[in-house]
Amino acid sequence: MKKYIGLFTNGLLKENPLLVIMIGLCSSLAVTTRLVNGVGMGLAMTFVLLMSEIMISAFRKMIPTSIRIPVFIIIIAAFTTIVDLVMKAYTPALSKSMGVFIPLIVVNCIIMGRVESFSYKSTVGESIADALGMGMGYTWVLCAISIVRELLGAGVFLGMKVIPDEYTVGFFSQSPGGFFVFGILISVGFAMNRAIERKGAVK
Amino acid sequence: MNDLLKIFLSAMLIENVVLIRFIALCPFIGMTTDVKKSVGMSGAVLFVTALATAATWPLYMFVLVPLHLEFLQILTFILVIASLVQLVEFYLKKSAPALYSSMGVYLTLITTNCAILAVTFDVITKGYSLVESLTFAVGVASGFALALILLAGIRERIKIAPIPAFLKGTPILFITAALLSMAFGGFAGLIK
Amino acid sequence: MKTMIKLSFVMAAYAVVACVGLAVVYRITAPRIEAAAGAEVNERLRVIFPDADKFSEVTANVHSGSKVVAFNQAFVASKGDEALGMVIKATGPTYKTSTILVGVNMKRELLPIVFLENNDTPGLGTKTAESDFAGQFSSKSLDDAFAVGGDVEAISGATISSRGVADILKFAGYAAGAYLAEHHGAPAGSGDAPVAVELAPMENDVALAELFPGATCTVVEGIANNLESSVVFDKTWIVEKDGAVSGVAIQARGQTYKASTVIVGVNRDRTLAGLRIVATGDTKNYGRNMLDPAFYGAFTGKSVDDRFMVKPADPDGDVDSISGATISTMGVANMVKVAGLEGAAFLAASYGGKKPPTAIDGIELNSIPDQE
Repeated sequence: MKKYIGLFTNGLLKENPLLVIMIGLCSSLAVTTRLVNGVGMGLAMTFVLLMSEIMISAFRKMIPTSIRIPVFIIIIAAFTTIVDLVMKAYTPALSKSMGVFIPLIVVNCIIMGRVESFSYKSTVGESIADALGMGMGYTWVLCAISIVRELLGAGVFLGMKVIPDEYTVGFFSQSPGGFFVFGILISVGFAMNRAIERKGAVK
Repeated sequence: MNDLLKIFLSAMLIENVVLIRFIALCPFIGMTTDVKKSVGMSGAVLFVTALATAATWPLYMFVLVPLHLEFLQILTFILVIASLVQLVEFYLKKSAPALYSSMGVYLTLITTNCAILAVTFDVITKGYSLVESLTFAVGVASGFALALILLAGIRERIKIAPIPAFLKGTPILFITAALLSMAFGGFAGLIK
Repeated sequence: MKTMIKLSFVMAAYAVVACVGLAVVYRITAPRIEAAAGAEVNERLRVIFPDADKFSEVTANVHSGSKVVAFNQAFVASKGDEALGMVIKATGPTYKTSTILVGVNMKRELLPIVFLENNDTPGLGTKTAESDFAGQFSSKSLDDAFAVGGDVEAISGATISSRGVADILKFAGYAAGAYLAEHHGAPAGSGDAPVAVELAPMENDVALAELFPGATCTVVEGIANNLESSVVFDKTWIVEKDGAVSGVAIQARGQTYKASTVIVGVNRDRTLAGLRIVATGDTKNYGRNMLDPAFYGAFTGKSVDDRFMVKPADPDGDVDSISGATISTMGVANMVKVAGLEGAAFLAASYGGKKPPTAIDGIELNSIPDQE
């Protein structure tokens, strides 16, 4: 059990896909203008990652090595399409506001990367833990960026308008703001990791 | 001619794929350690994007739509792009080994390049004709090239610049990107 | 080779399973996706008529009467038993196409329009959806002309889009107004049904029939062009009505932006029966707009002795230039002038037509700059 927890927490910080490994950036920054978009993307991506890792781990003995990449693509694309269709049906407004970024989940490097380097060689249980960890790591970073951008850019925090329009800084709602907040967050992530390492070294 | 030019400029500058739309950030960070790499990557992207658009547009218009199979768009598009890249790699290896050794490594990375898939999807959403789609594709790839080469140039300078410790490494890259993005934001009024 | 075939089979198997799975999910979600899209329209209808409690679809009973503007859906908004107005979802050609929700109240006024789709050039034609342009249509009377440059202000550099939107609104507005008048007691309109303008050149006989209705046209030789060698008279006719010669028609060919061929009708009293365009090689959306009746129609009734100089190239000009196509306009004006004067001269010489006020001794023509 400890192994699974370890795998899970790994994705949250130590090997956080966005802040540390720095993959899967594509779909990320664009959707962080609003918290609900960030959460939506995080969950959608986690779903695709989870299902893909489970499938590929379960069938790993039946996927010949030489054609593994195309098969991975087929599986990931199928789950991405499922997410796309389900969102269009049950959350049409959210689907529209995320636009092309939902289909872009299929080329999200995180999924391809984890599937190739981890779940193809691991058990289903391990894959589930890894997927959830990576997915949640991805989601919390997206939420952090979204909260900051929405608060400073539109004055909204968790759905409530807390800063009147005159004091909002449009910079954060637009593209430059996304890059900026992400840059700062990365340095915060580095600092946190260093602090944890130092604590571990002292022990 | 006029509208094609507008589509091109719009795709390259006003809606720059990297700096405004946040797409293709992985190569933006990963391939800009020096200008040569950026140029190589940009060339590969330009080539594959144009090819991919030329292949997926007819596929959607003449196969998926008439057969009411639009929901297979994600699956078929990505498979087409992946196969195209494989074919190009294969062909390059055989007929132009020198070119392959310099460009080949980028090709493998291109399959997961968000920009290419995004372009193929965009031209369908925007309802462009084939010619307009290709113009758009070239415009986007040019914008990609511009963003990458700019950042690579700046990165070479950053190496010898006094950066505060907590921003060293990736954070300063993103701050730089923020500044570049602001600059590109200035193109917004370019086409009245 | 065998392994390759086996591998292909494996891949195909995965692909097939994936597709089947997707087809299943699609079938489950498709009805909800469609319903969601429908709900969106309903929401928009509510924005236009917030007081309405019912929207009845009457799509089958409302026709646009135009081949280019299509009515996708039509709803009558009512509160209780009282009709509040109508909303038509209309799609028509703008620069590409646009789909607009057009709301009309019971007072023959447009309500604020809502763009559902605008496929025009971003930053240009898409500006028609912005309040600066779209706002001018709120509370606009259905009986207005909806003419760009007249009661409708176009977006600079996006005339086609602006005109396209104005046309969509004109058709939808007229149909909604007529329907409400017929079925719900709204006041009736004063104007005629709008006619879709399809820019196309005309055949000779169609042009002649329009210029001289009820008359017979017979080909003649003898109308010479001594005024300007760059304009060529390809064909000339005598026009007879009720037994007497009433005028002439001249098919003239000359330089516009590329080259164009026109038919100029001249009456015996030195007025123009009109101008029609038979062929033009000029650029679409620019010179080709000479095919718009709004342009060539303006020549009807002009005197052949007018200056026919094009504004704004000539500040005192009497011919308005086609937007963005001054050269084309100049070329046409020149042809009209030459054909008009020679036609009138012929009528004066042989058929007792009115003589010119002063002797004509060389004419002033618009000078068309050299093309490359």
